[in-house]
Amino acid sequence: MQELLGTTEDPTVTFPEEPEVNGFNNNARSYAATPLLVEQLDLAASKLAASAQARAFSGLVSCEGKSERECASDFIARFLRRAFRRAPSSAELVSFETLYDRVASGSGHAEGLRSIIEAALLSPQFLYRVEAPLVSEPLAESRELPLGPYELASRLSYFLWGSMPDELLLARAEEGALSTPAGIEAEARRLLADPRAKDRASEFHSLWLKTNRLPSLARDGAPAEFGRDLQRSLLAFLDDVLWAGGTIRDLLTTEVVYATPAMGAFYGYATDPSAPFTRVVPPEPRPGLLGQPALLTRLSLANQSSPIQRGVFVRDALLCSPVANPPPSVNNNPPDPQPGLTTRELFRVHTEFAVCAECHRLIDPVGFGFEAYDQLGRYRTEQEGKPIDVNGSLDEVPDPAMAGSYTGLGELSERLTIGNTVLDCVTRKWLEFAIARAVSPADSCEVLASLDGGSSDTPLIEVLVAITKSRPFRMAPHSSETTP
Amino acid sequence: MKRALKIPRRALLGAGGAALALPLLRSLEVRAADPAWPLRFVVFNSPNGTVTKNWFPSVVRSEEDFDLGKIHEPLAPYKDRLLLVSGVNCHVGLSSKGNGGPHQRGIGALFTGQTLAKGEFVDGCGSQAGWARGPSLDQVIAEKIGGSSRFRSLELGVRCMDNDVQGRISYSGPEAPLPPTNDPALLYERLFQRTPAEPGSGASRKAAVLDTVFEQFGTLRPKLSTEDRDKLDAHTELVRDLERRLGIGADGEACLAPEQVVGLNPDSEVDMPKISRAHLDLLATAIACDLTRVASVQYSTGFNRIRYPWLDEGGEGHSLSHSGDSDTASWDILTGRARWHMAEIAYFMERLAAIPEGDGTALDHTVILWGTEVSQGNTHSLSSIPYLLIGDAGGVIKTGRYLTFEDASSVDYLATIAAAFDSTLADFGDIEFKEGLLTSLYA
Repeated sequence: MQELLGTTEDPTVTFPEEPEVNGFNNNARSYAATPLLVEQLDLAASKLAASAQARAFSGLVSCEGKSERECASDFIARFLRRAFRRAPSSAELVSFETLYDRVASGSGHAEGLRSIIEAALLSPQFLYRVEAPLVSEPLAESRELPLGPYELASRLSYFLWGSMPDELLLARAEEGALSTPAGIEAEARRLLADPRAKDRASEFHSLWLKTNRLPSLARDGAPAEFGRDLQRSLLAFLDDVLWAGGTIRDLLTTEVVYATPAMGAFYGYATDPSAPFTRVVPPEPRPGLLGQPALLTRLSLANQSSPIQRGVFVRDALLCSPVANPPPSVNNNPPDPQPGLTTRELFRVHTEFAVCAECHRLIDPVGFGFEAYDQLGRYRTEQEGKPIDVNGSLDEVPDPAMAGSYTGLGELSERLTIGNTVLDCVTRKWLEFAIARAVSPADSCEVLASLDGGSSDTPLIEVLVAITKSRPFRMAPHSSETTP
Repeated sequence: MKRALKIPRRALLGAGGAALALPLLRSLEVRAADPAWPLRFVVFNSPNGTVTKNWFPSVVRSEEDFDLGKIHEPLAPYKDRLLLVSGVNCHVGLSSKGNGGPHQRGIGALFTGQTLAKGEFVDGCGSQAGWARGPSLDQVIAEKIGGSSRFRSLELGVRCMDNDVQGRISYSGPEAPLPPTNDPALLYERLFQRTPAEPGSGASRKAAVLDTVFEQFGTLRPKLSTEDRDKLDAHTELVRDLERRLGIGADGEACLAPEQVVGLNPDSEVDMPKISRAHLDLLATAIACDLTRVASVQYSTGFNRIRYPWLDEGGEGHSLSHSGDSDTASWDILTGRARWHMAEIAYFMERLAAIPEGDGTALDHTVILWGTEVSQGNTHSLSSIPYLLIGDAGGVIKTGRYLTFEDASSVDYLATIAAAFDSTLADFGDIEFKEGLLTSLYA
């Protein structure tokens, strides 16, 4: 809205939440309009149009030296180009001019302009991203079609900003600058340098790591409202890694925590009480992402750590190598803590029964390496009077070079930096976020091909640029798709 | 201070002969079914099961002579309006058909009588499922009794923040969940600040805007794949429906808009009781004004981890509900929470009882159904689902009783309630789990 109408109003805060699929909430297939959403869209369009009118359309319409009718035609052409992220067709111009004439003849110029805004905001061309391909028939031996320049411009801006293209990007699209990889790269780097890209990356991080669950999580022993601090801390860490040119190695092994004052008090770190965060190098082991207090807290139960959730996280979010679901007949309630038993002992049932062990041997031994951290990510060396055992094992992983037993989170994190498996998985997640559909290993492979396959030393920001130049990003499936 | 709404009864958009005839016919139909007042239907859901031993009647001397369990004490003044059941089992969730873990299966089938489609929503323990495969009870009943009210139904949420299978109880059709409104300020806006388009220039301006919008839908349509075209058509239909509804106002003798409650945070555990009351006040008013006749109210989501800081310091609900049977302190806390939910329903009934309708009140013309997705948290059992039915649906249902069934299917139970509103609804739910209506519910 800021881009289109120059307002900071955000009428979407009251919209119903969108469904999450595979952790991302922009999957085109799962989206469907509901009565409530349509009602809310109408309310928002009415309000935004009325408030533009109340500001006398300043910054939107300039009628100097023109008749009202000319001025309206002008406005329609410019506004639709922005709202629809492409040049409007002549039929569309006529339709909106007719609307202006119908309203303005009875209620005046301003009401006419307001109606144009309202109708444009309710049009499917504004509400959906229409990805009409450049040509109507697939190229030989391909089920995909190259996207047109406007569609590509929208993909770029929604991927990197979460918003519509700005004037410059639309102009670049118009002059054909997006027809070459170099042209796309130049625009991608320009968009990445804008502050909006930071917010967008945080959105990705939130969805990938499900940090939005943190504020409402209840954990025994947590100070009030602690979840929000943890959430902000984790996002600050990820921000830092990405924008400082960090790599998978940095992500997994940097021993830094961005601690809020409340976190400082809780974990015993010296923090600056007047700063939102203090960059702390903790005295205890905190290897990278997996050692972050926020992530360890999220991957826990209310009253104990969860080796299961932690193991599943590594397999799903970092290795893209998930384990099958438990059969429906299984009682999968986690056992309550019992005096005298460590968490590892509590979950022994998983290895004692063959039917459980079938899958849990791939989960629990990954999660056991995290046992030095409790349900709030506090470091511990013993539990129930027994020393913590942090031996684990990583088995049946995509790259055999990673497999085998390990001791502690530090060694697990190091192990994950071998080869390009984690990079490939993270690329897949970014790509899914970028093109709003499920992606295949072949897709991410194609992205990484332009980075010579990539490794744990490839800067992550280069992955984002490589995505924008890749085939999956520049093509649409044969039957055109719409995305909200 | 309360203010009366001055809104024209009907402000029809583009009133031609045919457009005028339709609402007249509809109201005649409703009148034929119920000469004086429309029936209403409201479903309630709160999560994580109940405390079975305090839910079912404590002493049972006969079907009509029993003492309410501890949890139902807040509803004691309305005992003759209650119909309690035991032995109504969720055969849908217990079968191998369908997808998901117990909380997912339970809430999916709770008001739909349907299994879950395949999907990617993950429950706490890794099971995956999609949405329920059919419409919910409130929606099929709304089709029959909605009449000319502005909102076919209202879906309300009290801190019901997750958009996944555990965050939805109402479905307009297969895999078509309806999201709830969580903020009472927004609900107020929807009900009372969107006045119908004034006849004259305002209405014709909006009509002109929507004409252009429909043209835009028309130009996009031929460019789309079949799947996307279906989505776009559904969206177009919803805009047409909105256009129709914007022409309908509020009506009713007791139709007084309450003060707008603002500043509550829909995602705050501290605000939950205030949000509940604000929602229920608005819902009672919406019923008084005949703005709607059907609603669902969902308190948080299934398998949630909410606390009830205004009641106790017991910590989060899901773990608590997993307490062992001998952990009496935990079960006392859970009993207190279950009682709170019943007290909210009692409050809502009190509000309805204050709306005069003919010789009685709106409460006499309202049916309420409460249910939770598993019977008790620590067993995740889908047997003997604690449903609570309130109201006689115009004398069709015989209340003031506790009925015990050997092994009834919850689909039959739901269909029996649906058929009390309209006999053609007897086919409600997944046919695979139906054996016949539970006619013992009827008078």
